[in-house]
Amino acid sequence: MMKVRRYHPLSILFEFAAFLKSYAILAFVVVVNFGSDSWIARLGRILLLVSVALTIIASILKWFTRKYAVDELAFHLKSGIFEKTERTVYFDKIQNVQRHTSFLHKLFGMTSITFETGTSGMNSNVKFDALTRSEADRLESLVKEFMQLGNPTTDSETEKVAVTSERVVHFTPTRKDTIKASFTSFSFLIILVLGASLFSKVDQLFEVEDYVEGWIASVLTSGWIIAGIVVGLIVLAVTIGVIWTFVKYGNYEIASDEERIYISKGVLDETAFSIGKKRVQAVEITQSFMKRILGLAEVKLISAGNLGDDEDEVSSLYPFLPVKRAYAMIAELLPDYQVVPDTERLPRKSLLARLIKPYWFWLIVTIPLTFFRPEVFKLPIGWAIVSITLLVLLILSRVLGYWNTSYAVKGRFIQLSQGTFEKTTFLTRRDKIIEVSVKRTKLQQWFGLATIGLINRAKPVRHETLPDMPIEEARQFVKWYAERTKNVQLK
Amino acid sequence: MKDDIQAPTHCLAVESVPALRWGSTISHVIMLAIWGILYATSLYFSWWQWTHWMIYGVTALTLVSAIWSIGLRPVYFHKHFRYGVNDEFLQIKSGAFYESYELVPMAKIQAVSMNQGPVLRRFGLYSLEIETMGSSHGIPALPKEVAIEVRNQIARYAKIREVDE
Repeated sequence: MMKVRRYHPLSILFEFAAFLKSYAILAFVVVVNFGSDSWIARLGRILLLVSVALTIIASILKWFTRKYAVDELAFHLKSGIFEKTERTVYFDKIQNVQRHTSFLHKLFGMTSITFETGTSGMNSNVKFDALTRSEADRLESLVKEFMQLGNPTTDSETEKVAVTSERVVHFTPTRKDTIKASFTSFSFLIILVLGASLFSKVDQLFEVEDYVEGWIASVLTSGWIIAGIVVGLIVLAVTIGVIWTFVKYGNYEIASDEERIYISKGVLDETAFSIGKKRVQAVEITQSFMKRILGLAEVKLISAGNLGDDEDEVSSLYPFLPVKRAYAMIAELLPDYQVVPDTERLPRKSLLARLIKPYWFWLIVTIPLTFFRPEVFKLPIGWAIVSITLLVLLILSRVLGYWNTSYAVKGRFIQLSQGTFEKTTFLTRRDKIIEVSVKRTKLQQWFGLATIGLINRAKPVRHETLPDMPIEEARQFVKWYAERTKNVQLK
Repeated sequence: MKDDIQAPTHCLAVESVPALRWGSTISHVIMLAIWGILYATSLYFSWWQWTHWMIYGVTALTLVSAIWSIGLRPVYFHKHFRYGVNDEFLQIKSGAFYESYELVPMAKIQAVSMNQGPVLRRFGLYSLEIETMGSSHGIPALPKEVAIEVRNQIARYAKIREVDE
């Protein structure tokens, strides 16, 4: 008989903290206007008090009614104050595991853990907001053990001995990496902007400028002092940037064993992510313009389960990896995957087809421009300049897009690279693709081109397309996909 | 279309042409009725002049679209739509101006549903909707027996489950 447990009592506290966070603005306004007698302040006070009381009662009742149990196959969850619900979530549906330890969690020696499934809808995950580390470890290891033992047929390609599953650390950023990262993220520029805007705010309030005018004038006359101040500001901004990057990306660790990949990061707010290698649906390599200049890349693992919010998205291998290191890392972590370096370009006729394609956006902008002929920059022909500039920019972006497009269909893999300034490479395996399509507009039919599309499991579902591939290649691609049954094992 | 897998060969029911025609006739009549009512109210309440022009414009557009979707599209649609079901894949090909070809492994199909609206019922037809994990595909007009057969076929093949999903 499995043991039915209550959630940890501290989850009441954490629920209340979450409530406070979401009502922080209201609470702040109410506290500031505490002495005020206007009806709106009174209403705010009453609202806040009522919702605080309700939340406390609800979270206590919730704690009394929510229970969970785990056996070697599934989570069993009971919940509901008035309407009772029982949920069973089988381990084999779990796509990835995320652990988030906020600063508050740390104070109490707690953590939170989320098991994401690939199903759609509200109840797509099993989440524990607050539990002790040992309990989280226990739950995670149960899921992990299930993946190893309970699924003898998980692997269709590589035969291997699942005895030694040693955890290997593949990457931790050095100090140099962190500094480089802080430069690419431009975070230090934000500090400067913030400083400037803060100054103007203060200036408006107290008219600082008038106050210190004489002083500033005397300072401005001395070049040395200006240079000193500028250097000081830059040093400050860079230091803050580095600290910020360190807090966010410090303690980064990418590790793996036979079955799973582990990514953890954060100094104050720790997040840890783990995914079964078999559950990786695709790999995405993104290079922003800045990262391309510095030769860095971000590698993301695509999972069928949710990956958390943008801010603490955790599926990313260190976002500032040198390109070569990134490719090597993919090979280390996912021996099933390989990045093909010699990808094929689209033929010239694709560029031609792309340039001929109607410029709808330009047309929509230009028609009213020719109609109203507004003056731009005090020039009577300003509207024409705007229109032409827009057209040139659009043509340039199409050329860039063509330049950055390449693809490779090799063995069991397909690799698509695209982008104008930012370049994204999408790499997936034939057996992970749900369906494929070939589409052709009339223009593409004339040029003998086609747009191929593929759909992968992810949240939300990934639709990847590669426009203007030669039609023979597109047919080859469909044939390649139709041969997927060779790699797929049936139950 | 390809060498190895057979290109889809099955057509839609012949009655799909009048069925599509009726369907779009009804929707266009409804649309024209709405514009008519709008026009009447605009006259009655003497709205601005430009509202009249707007209504003339959309009426003209509706008439053009009526010519296309009642007169021409049903014929072209029937002529170019092909589907195919075998034990491994569902294939759907459609369109001439915008040609589209889709290949879906049977094992990835999650649900099949048969639907019949009033127009389709008049012609004894059914439409099939096939859902995968990522998207949904439709076969718009099939005779009843064929629809049931195709549905059962898909249901039978889709039972095959792949390892590691």
